[in-house]
Amino acid sequence: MNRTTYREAVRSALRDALRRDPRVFLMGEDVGRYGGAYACSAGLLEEFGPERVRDTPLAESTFVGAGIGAALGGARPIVEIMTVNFSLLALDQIVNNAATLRHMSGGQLSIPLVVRMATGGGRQLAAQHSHSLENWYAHVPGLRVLAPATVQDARDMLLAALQEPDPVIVFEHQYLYPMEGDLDELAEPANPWRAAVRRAGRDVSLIAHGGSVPKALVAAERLAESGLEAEVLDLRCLRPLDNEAILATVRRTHRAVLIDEGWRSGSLAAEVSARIMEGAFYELDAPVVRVCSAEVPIPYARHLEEAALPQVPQIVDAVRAMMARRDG
Amino acid sequence: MYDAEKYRDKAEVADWRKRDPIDSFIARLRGEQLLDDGDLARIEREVAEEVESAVRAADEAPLEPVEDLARFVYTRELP
Repeated sequence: MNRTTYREAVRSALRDALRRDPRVFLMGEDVGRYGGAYACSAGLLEEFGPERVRDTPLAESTFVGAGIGAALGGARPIVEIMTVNFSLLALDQIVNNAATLRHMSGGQLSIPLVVRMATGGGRQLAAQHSHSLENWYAHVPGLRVLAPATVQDARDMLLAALQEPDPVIVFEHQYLYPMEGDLDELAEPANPWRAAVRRAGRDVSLIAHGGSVPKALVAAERLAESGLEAEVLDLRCLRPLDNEAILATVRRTHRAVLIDEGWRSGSLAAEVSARIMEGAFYELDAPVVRVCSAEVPIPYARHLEEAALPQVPQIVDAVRAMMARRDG
Repeated sequence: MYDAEKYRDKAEVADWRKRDPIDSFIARLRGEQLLDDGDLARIEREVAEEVESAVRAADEAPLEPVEDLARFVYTRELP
């Protein structure tokens, strides 16, 4: 067990993957000589050489397509896309090829492709580098989608993704890269496809993923000061969603506040809410509440960006307003 | 965000600087007697003043109010 950052945990997984399996290689913009836009692959080019740590042109569709081809040919590519915003240039390859070829070929083809991308805001990178589009990918059959929210998951989920015979999208929230936490490189990894209760509580469930999990935990601590015990459920896997864990937490607390950095309209939170309605409607003591990003392109100016993203005080206020409802 | 200059060596950048299009343009205008030292000094002074004044105006302006967060997402409200 050691104390390290989310960024270092990603690098530790990349290094182990490259050491363990000669079929694994890393490819993407700035992953080699620059060491990664977020420094996740610093030092790997020097250790593994340009065959296995490959800088690509600024051409997402091309290098994701190359990754799909390599996976079809028996390699285990890890493709890094700098941000989810840029991944839209590769949507055709991901949605029309990676996600479909297994099914269209009647099971003859397999695409063991891992695509890592940064997501989310909070670092003043403005509207073309700060969006949370996880739900776009969580919508697509054929893909699996992971969102590590802890240092341990940043490592374990990437290694687990590489064990999958199908394409896996891994969302690393850009705000989490410098976050510190405990990392046990020898521990048996938790099942990456299941949600996890990060804090137990009896009064309300805060359901979040990725960069919203630490905010939910801070909100839970604030609520505890006034005697409200919030449970924090980290979704971890966004496709498939862990229905059982979502319904189980609602059955324990009878109230749910969903925190999602995506825009509320058509959000992942909308999907979670619908599943609660379908599976635990009669357990609810109050309507489900969502805390999402304002429906604007994420602004550059710090005070506007902070106002656009879900923040701890909004989560706390949402819970207090929910508990104060008289019709509940 | 900045350029850490990990892709090109400094000599290559220096070599391209010798072909800076602004410098080349000035040299050509001078060669054709279309620009003298006085003109150049005036243009550089005017440009510097314009930039400084824009920076000053931006620094002195109040922050955009948070209430305007959603302004300019669309051109107009739907009827």
